[in-house]
Amino acid sequence: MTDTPKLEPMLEMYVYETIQLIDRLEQLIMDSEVSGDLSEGMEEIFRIMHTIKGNSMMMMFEGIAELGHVTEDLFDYLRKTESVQPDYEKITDLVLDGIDHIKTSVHQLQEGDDPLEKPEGLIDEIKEYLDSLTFMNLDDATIAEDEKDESDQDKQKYYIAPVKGDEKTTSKPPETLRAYEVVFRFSEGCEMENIRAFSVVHGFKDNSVDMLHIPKEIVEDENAIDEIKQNGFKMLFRTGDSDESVRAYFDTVAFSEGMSINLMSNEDYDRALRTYLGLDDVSEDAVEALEQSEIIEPEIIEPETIEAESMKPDAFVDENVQVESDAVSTPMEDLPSQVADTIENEIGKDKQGENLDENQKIDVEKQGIQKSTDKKTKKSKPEVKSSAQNYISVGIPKVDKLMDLVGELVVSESMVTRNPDLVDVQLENFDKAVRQHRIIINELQDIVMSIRMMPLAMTFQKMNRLVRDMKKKVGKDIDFELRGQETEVDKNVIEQIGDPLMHIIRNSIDHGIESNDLREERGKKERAKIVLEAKHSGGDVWITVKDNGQGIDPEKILSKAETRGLLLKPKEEYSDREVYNFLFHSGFSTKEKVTEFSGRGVGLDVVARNVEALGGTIIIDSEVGRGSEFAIRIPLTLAIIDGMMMSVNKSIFVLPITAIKESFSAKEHDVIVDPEGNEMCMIRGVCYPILRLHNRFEINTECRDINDGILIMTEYDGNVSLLFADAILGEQQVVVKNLSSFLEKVDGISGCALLGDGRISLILDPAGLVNM
Amino acid sequence: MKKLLVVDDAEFMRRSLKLIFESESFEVIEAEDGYAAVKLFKQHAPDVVTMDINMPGKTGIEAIKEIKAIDPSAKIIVVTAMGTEEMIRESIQQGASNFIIKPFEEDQIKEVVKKLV
Amino acid sequence: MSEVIDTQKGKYLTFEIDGDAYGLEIQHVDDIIGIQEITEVPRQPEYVQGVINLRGKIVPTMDVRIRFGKDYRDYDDRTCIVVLDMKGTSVGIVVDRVLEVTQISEDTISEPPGFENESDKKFIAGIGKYENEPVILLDCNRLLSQSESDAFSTTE
Repeated sequence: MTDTPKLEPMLEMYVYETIQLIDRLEQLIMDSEVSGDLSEGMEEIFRIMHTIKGNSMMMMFEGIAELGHVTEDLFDYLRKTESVQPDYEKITDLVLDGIDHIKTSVHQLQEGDDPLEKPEGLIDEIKEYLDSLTFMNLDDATIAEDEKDESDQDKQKYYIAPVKGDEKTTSKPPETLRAYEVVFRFSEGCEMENIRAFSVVHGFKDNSVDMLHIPKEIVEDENAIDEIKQNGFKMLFRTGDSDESVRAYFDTVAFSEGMSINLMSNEDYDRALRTYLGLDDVSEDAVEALEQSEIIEPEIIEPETIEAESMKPDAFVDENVQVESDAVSTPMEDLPSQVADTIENEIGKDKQGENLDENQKIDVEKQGIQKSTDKKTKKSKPEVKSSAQNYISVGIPKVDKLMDLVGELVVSESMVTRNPDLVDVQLENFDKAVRQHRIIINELQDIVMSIRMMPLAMTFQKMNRLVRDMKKKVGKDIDFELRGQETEVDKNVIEQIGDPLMHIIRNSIDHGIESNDLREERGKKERAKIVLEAKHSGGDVWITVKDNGQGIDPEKILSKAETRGLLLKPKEEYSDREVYNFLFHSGFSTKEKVTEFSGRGVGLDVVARNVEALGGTIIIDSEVGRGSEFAIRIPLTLAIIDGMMMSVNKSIFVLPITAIKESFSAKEHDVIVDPEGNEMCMIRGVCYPILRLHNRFEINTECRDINDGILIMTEYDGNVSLLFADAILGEQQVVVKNLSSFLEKVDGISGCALLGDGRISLILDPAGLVNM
Repeated sequence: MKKLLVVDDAEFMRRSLKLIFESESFEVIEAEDGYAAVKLFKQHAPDVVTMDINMPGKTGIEAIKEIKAIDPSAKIIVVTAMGTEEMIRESIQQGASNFIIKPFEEDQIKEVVKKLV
Repeated sequence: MSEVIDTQKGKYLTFEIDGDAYGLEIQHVDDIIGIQEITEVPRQPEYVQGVINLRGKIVPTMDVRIRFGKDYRDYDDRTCIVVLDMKGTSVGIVVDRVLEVTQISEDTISEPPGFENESDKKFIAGIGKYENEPVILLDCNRLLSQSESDAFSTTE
């Protein structure tokens, strides 16, 4: 192929599909290791490897193709051989290594580079393992082979090439039949010349009364391939078809060269027929008798031929299976040379360097990611496809555009329903219509929002893998539990949360969990455990990593902070939480040695930054000797929220309804001022702090008397504050927009929103307001 | 315009063939399994079909049988990877007109298809 | 939206602040709009007045007079907001009045002389001449840099 532009989409497709397949494969193989049962996933694994192999061969990625090939063979053997007792751990390791190789190669492809070099070592290892399996089962196999050989020794007969008399031709008197001699070669490198010849023969047999060809044995005999390559393929036949249709037929033979089609005299033909049959002395009648008999494919005649097989058509169906497993030992050495033969063009060798990010595809309708702990019947992927669920890929820019438009639709709906022209006008029918309109828009909004939402399952699975690999390497026994994988978050979050989570988990395994010996020493009977959990709560997503390791020692941290001069107040005055926050300072580490996995603990500051970039926060909790918990809170960046509008002088603020408990005038309750000047209000016996918005945001307002404004009880994460504002303006759905990066970040403000009349309101962040 | 029905369970393969043949002014219809192949064959009556014979569920060979039953003159090209000689043979017996082996070059597949239409 | 100009090099948008003519390279100018309501955003530097709604887009605005350490001046009907775009960040600057888009050839541009006010100097790329009048050419980058400390960085 010489069209470079055409390959960019192909490479992109290849990468996309391969990533899907690899992810699914990883899930399957790890599930089977845990469950100790490969049988459920085997078929699908086999199929996945086959597809990867096929695709990679098309793209000329030899390394991946061959890796796919040997793995496919392994699984082919496993799925067909019942008596095999596979070593699950070994198989899992081999497959995972293969997955890693492919992942890395794909990543390189995405960067515009070539894939990795062929993983010779791994390929050999897989081959060896397969050989060891077949060796163990050899006794059974050899018996089967011997049986086959015997049965076929009997059938050493000649048969003429198939002629199933088509009524048209056989009913014609011999005189109107014409005899032809057709000779041709196949072009270089077209492979399987014998089968090609067979297909030519088969395709014409219905049109000919009789036919013979040289070489005689084409299907069984692999030597035929060489013969045809050297001498070409010759066909002699008699047919009632017109000259035109004969030529038309042979015209359809692909890859043919030097096609010569010549009429023969009937006498010449007869003579040739006799010689062919070795029937020089036999009469014509005998020949005719032969012709009329039910004739089938020629069988093996050469004793050297190893493969023996009955040629009855219905035998094919079952034999296929047998033969394929023998084909396991098809020389793999052939593969590279075949691939090499077809490497004439530089497919895939150009550095494409296309930007996959921009055209990244997401699947509309969840991909039906199976819960790993769910032991329901897992349907192999292709079956899912042929059921009612269909998926399409959509480019992300389109989805974003769709979301923007829906956002605008919500706002414009507001502008219609809250139009100043309509104030004070009673419109019953209009109201009804508006309500209906609203319902539809809400539903639209929900669905559009959900398009970008995806379950965390895939990300969590990666962690699974990480833990598995790491605990082996550090030699600690650790149970890893996943909870809430089905929790959905915005695609953006899925992409960004992986790295921080990996880092935290690494830390936990490396520094948090004690070594097996140490745990015993300390009398910790229960197994070391790490729990990764995700859940929705109050408009946010919480992702927590909890371990039952040795916990974090605040003393150590404080001393370190002290030596670095980071302490701003006496040690004793630091709450544990404040102490833990030191861990997020860059360059902070209490570890004496650096390990391969978690470095100096420097990573936590990067983790914090990553989390903040998602608009989230991270909290550490710990108890010495018992364990630690890292909790990440990510606000669900729902672009549209239900908010309560309130005013402070000319400024309008919007507070998410989910955070509001109630609102009231201060007049109705007691307001207390403590010695330091902090205002509080007593509500039903409990004291809550008052936060004056005009103070916090430095806004000049005339409404300063606590009795004039309004108090809004706001809750977040168990903390409650009473926000003091001038007035409440009402509920409104607003589209959340980020404040420009040009502006300084303000604690307590998470963004802004355009109101129906075009004004801008600031969105309050409860978290920043209740934790002071 | 000539119609080509591409049958393969790998999306990548279907798309590749679609790209190749649309630029040869073919109308390309995609089917991802044997069931769809038969259904779409009935619906669209393509001039030629490429069939991957390594598909789960209804295999390519079964699909060939059924398609040939619907239209004995249907032109089907079998697409396969190496090492499946028996399957190729059977598909030819079932009525496939020709076969092509993966990996193939663009020119090769084009030749095979064009020769049949 | 900025007009499509063949080559934007050497073309400046000139505007007036406090009687003095200033210029900004046209390639950074995205839009010019009449003064409109600016929504205050709390706890920002003094020269940041707030944000405006520009056809659905939230654009922060800056008062250059205050950035230059001058006094605040009431807006009138000729006050405009020039919306600049640098590397994806949009910022609007409030100016007394907009003059025109004009070519200022390089050979007329000279180094800025020493100013009493440090802050002024940092924003100035040079002094050009237009119709014999001096035009203070501003450095868009410096103007749009976020923190005070950036503005006063002494790397020249």
